[in-house]
Amino acid sequence: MIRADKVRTIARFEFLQIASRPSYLLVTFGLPLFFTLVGGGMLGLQAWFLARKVERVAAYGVVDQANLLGPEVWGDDGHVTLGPVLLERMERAAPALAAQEGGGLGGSYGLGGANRGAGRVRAYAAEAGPLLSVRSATAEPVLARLLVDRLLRDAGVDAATRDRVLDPMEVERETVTREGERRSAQDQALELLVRSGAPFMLGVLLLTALLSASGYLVQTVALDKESKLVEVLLSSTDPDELLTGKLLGLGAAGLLQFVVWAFMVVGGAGTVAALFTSLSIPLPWEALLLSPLFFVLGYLFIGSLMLATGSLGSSVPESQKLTLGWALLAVLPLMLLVILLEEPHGSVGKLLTILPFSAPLTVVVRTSLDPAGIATWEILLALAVLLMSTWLAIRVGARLFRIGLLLSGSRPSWGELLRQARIR
Amino acid sequence: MNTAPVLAYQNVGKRFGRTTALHGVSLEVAPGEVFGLLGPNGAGKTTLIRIGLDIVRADEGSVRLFGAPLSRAGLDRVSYLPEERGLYKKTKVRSMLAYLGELKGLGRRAARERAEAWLARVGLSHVATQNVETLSKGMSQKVQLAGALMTDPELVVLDEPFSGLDPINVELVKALIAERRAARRTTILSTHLMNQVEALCDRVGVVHRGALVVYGTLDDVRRRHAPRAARLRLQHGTLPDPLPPSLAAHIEAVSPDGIFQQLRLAPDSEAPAVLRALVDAGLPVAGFDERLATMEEIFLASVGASKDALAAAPAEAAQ
Repeated sequence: MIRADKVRTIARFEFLQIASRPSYLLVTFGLPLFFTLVGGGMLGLQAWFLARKVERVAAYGVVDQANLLGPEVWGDDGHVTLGPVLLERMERAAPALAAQEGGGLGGSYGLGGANRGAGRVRAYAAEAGPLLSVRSATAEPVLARLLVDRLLRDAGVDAATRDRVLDPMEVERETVTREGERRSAQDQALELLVRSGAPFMLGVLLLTALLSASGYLVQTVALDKESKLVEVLLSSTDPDELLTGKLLGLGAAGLLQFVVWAFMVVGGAGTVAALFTSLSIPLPWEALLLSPLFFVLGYLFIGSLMLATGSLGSSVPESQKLTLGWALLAVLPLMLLVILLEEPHGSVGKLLTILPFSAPLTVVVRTSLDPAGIATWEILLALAVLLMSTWLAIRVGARLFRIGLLLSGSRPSWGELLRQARIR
Repeated sequence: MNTAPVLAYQNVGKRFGRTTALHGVSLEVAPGEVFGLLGPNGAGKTTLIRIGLDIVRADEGSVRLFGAPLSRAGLDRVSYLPEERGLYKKTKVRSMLAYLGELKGLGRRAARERAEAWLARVGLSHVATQNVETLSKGMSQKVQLAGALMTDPELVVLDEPFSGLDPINVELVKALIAERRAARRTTILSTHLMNQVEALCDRVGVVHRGALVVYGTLDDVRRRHAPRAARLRLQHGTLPDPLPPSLAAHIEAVSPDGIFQQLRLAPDSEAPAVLRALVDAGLPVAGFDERLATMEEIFLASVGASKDALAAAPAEAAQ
């Protein structure tokens, strides 16, 4: 029978061993903070830079010797401003190029005499000026619009038709939800960000915390063998107590890590929602509430298998190699995330929900993408399958763990494993 | 006083694949004694110890600990210092010791206090808050020894406790073992240092190729394997040459050894009979010692002549 005091001692020691490591503290608390600060800082910097760009009017020179745009385009001071673009009429190319060199103009355009027929325009750029792509995206549509307007005027088209030709359509996008609510394009973009960003982040964090905690398990059991402490431990505790204590202690460390990270996601999503309170963007509360439960079960399932197979190795690298297969199986839903995001409740999603390796991540992703789309029975079935698999994994894992702990030197053959399993 | 064996193996056998690690081993460790478990590398000592600690189960035979079948409650009264040992490198020395104490059933506070006390005992208080990885090999050995002894276990199994220690610390370990014997605590000592076996052990067992080939009290074993020789010192002069018939019946050969003479005894003669014959012959006997076998001689003879030793094993083991 497993003794609770021994399990508690082992669990507490293993938890403190990991939780007091600077690397753990850094990853758990420092990394999200770092990403928040750096990510936020970078985003803020870019937003500020773009805002400055938008506010600033860029000036370009236009040499229109053939007067293709017509005199009425230019104001009294020889300028025309459309949005962030200011076009300045220049008599000749030379002063335009000089102003360009001096930084007064972002570029200049020469409209040739034959332009009307061929539409040919010569564009000049200074070496140190803005990129052509930037210029073509800002100044050239304005210039093109003025030319079209002129052509239409010359053809005698009335003002209303000219406006329609220049702005043929104005799209107003709206999305209608299942409940019949209408959402604007801006609302939808933000919701998409929260709805797909949060599941993605939550899924990645769940998987990272799960694999990280399982990795600690493999590391600790390999260290027991490598440091030759295993026999002292086994003379004081039962292998099942050792396995349970390690599972619980390191699981607690992993759960703490996941909860801290999940709070960061909630915090991030909450901040976005708070900034746009009028939009009432829903947070994936169902997924957030389910995720710790699925983390614990997923961890116990994968952790037991990893601990058992990891104990067969004689060193940390060998143990890590032996457990790689389990890690790959757990990562499977992440590999199929595009399908899950596109069609969360499709066949792939349903299948991954009931497979014990992929259930934790799949349920969390599906629930946060569309809580109404995943049936309660699916969640319950996933839990039942996971519970049964975990029970089985712990039983098989404990037996393998017993054998693996005492084997030293070369890795045992399958025959030897079976023989030892029968003896103990 | 309870004289039931602390640990008793009865006809224990163990195989690993096609290799027989142990066969037909029966031995008992008495309360309060220091029992020397000896044997060459790979003889089966560690397997025997592991079976006694329920780390490995025997294929045949039975083991009783404190008079009862192996149980976790019984094992909590036992500590083990394995030959291949280590500690968690990244852990503080005091925390490591306290953890080992807690695993043996001490409360958190008691484990911490014992850890402090034992670190002081082995002269390592100054490294209590350091990581294990900063310790020298000898220091690490002492921490592990402290870990095995800190709960004052009724039985401790020390496998090569002297390895890596300087002469000062060897004396410390010897003193700790002697203290345990004085306190009627039982110790199983496995070592290749035969002089320490002679100095510390009450009884010994030699395992060779999975069988117990020598077993008994230290004195008995040394006498049983004695080379049938004695050392003689006369007040003046030497033994006559040739020997008179009354002495020649007991003494096969005489050789000089400084102020002594070495006597090789006849196969059917015992040392007391030889001494009596010498006195009866009117010789001025100033000193007479029966020469006992050293543990090194016994060990080498037992494991060297393996065929004979194995053949004799059941008879010796039964004694």
